[in-house]
Amino acid sequence: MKQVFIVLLVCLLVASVAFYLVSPSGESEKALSEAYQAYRHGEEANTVNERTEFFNKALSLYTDLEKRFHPKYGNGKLYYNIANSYFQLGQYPMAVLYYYRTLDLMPKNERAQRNLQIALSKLKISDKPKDTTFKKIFFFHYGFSLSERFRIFFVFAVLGTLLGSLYIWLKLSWLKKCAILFALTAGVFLGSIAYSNYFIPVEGVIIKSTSLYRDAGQQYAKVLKEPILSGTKVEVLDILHEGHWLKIITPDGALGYIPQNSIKII
Amino acid sequence: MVRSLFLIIFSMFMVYQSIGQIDAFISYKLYAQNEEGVKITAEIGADSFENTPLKGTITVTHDKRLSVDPDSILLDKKPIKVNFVKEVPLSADTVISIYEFSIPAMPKGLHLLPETSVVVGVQRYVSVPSTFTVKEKKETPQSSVPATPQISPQKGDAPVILQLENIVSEDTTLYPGQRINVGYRYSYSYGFDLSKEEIPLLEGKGFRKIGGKEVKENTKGALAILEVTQLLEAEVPGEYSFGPGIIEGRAYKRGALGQKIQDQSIKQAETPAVTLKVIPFPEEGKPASFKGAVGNYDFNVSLSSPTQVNVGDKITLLVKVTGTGAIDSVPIPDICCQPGFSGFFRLSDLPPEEKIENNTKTFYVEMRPLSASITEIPSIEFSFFNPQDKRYTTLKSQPIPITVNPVKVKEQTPLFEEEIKEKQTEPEALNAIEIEGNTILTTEDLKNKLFGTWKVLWIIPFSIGILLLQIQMKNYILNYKQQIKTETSTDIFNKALEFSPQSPEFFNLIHRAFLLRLVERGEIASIDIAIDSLSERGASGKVRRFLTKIESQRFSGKQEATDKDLLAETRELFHELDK
Repeated sequence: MKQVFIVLLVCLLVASVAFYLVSPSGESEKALSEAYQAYRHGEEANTVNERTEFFNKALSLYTDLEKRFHPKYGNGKLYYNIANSYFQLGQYPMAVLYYYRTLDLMPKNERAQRNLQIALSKLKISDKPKDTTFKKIFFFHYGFSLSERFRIFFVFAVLGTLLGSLYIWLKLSWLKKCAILFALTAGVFLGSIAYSNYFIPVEGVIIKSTSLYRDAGQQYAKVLKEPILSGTKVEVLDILHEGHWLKIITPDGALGYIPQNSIKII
Repeated sequence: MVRSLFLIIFSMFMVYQSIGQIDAFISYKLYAQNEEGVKITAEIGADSFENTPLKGTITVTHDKRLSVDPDSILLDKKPIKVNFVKEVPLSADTVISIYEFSIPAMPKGLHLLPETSVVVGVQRYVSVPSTFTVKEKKETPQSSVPATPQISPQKGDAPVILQLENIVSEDTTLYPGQRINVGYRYSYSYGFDLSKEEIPLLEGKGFRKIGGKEVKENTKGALAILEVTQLLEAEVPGEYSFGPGIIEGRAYKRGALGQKIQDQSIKQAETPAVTLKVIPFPEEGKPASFKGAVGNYDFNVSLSSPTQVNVGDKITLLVKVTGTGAIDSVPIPDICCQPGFSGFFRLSDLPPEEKIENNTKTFYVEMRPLSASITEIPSIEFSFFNPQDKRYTTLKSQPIPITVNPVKVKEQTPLFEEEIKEKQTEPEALNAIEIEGNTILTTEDLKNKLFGTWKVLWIIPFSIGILLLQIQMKNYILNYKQQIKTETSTDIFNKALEFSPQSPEFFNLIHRAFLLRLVERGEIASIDIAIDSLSERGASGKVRRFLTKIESQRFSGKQEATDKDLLAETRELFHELDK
């Protein structure tokens, strides 16, 4: 009986090792390594052609991984690398889009902020974040990414539950106070998450320079004489005509409509 | 728009003058309409005077394949003699037959013209009764200063006709992007000063107007026909109702000096309301490449640049869409998102140039190959929805083979050392890297953060549930303890007396009762104490001796005292401890 158990255990161990070896994570590791190497080669290339080819390869590998994993709540590092690859290929609006996506997941990342400013300067756009008192008061909302806020909420909720449980049995007043404090902190982060999801308008980046129209159609008059520059961050207020047109507001407060293919949501 | 009809009117009027001397009837008009579109109008002239026979007209609008029987005309269900005046073609299938009749003179005042009926084809149609006014006959009808110029009711003048019809195609159910031509057909004799014109179809509320209004003018017999149409394009699904089209005005003709001679009565014409329905595209079978093209198209992609290019060179693709439908609204396929383009070609940031010729729309798409590994321009997919068979069709272009060469490095010619040095000091064409580099990633960086997604919200019901469960559990335990606590030694003692003194239950309960009594007296702390641990003195000593005695008696099997004696001794000791 004991021998059978040992054999089963060994089989299980071998199967798990085999599963790990053939699992997609192994392939992903390889793709990540190739992409990184391609990017490095691109940086070290001696000709424009070589450089473009390597950066293009890196971008292709990174975007494939993005499509496979959809790390919308990840740490943002993949988005940062994609943004850099776009930048090196001269596709600055797409680079700006991915830098914004990176900063959504890593709000304090200084490298992404610096690279974003360079990309924006290439597009002749100025977008320096303003440090307001409101932002200082609600630092937990602006200083943490959505996934970080989820995690903090979770930790405080678990701690609150544990201390609440101890209080139920031990009836110690300090436990009660701590449990309430943790629960309140979790509540604050939950409120911040709900606010981000339900009250903050969706933001997008203009990837193709377009005119701003008075209504959803190219037959309507233009709100601004000049088209909106690629790379401009705008707020999306509404989606019309089965998603073919979007109602937006520009950073200057101009309200109008643009075709869907000229914008990508952050 | 309609104002332009005034220009035609004068010439029309001259035509009427030549037709013959017919009384101009300025009348009250009502008509009956049936499902087949037959309309009957019975009118009495507005300038009707007392003591004069009254003249009227019957206008029958009908399909020209149906014949009107003049002998079947009844006024107030009685036969009446009518004279055929003329037949005026209104459209390809519709004509207006005009008859005149006369009724005896009537005193001045308001009168009712009874219903008129006539057989058209094989069916009898009835008009609606109407009122008319008979005026007082003045001895001197020609006053020195005439108040308002009027159309003289001279014999031979044509009757005043004003009709309005909707122009709408049969299929009023549309898909977004589909187009429909709508409008009105005005049919009239004489000129009209319109005082009211409600033409909601031309407004096209809820639809996108394509181009301006189209106006067609022609004459059919003695009538002038004016068709005003507007091309509309459906946009948003929904049901759009357009109220009845109404026009109202006074007829007029020009006098000998060119002055307007206006009719006193107001004519009105009305069309039924129209509902246009815009339904959404079916979700079933909707291809990913569908972007809203409606119609029936052919699709072709060709290359207008050389097939041999270098990396980064601009190439222009001609994307041609040909067919029937709203060709100018056909959107360009989303080339950037189609397989084989992302990462290999860079499309221009500017919207592609478009050109429309006849039924062909050409997009000039500019792009640049980014890699020398490209061997072809991949197939491009274009989808459209055909509203006739209500199906999506997806067309794919053929891949176009191209050769993309890497950028050539200029051939090096031998240089002298000085030249080499100079060359080395020249700035390189390759720009310096401007941004901070990539970071090394692991598979962990590809995943969403653990407890970093919406899934963590399960902690809320879980925490609430677990806290409530613990509160319940604690309450239960407290209640249980409370129950145990409230059971006194007397309760247990009385319970023990219910059992036989020889039974194990009796012994167990007596044992608990005595020990609990000692607890109640404060002599011991808990009932969980061995008998041997009890003190040998005082009440504890008595209990110890008694319990040892009955225990040894129970286990030895020797019955030294009767049950009665045992019970008496037990009671006595218990009561003694009570003191």
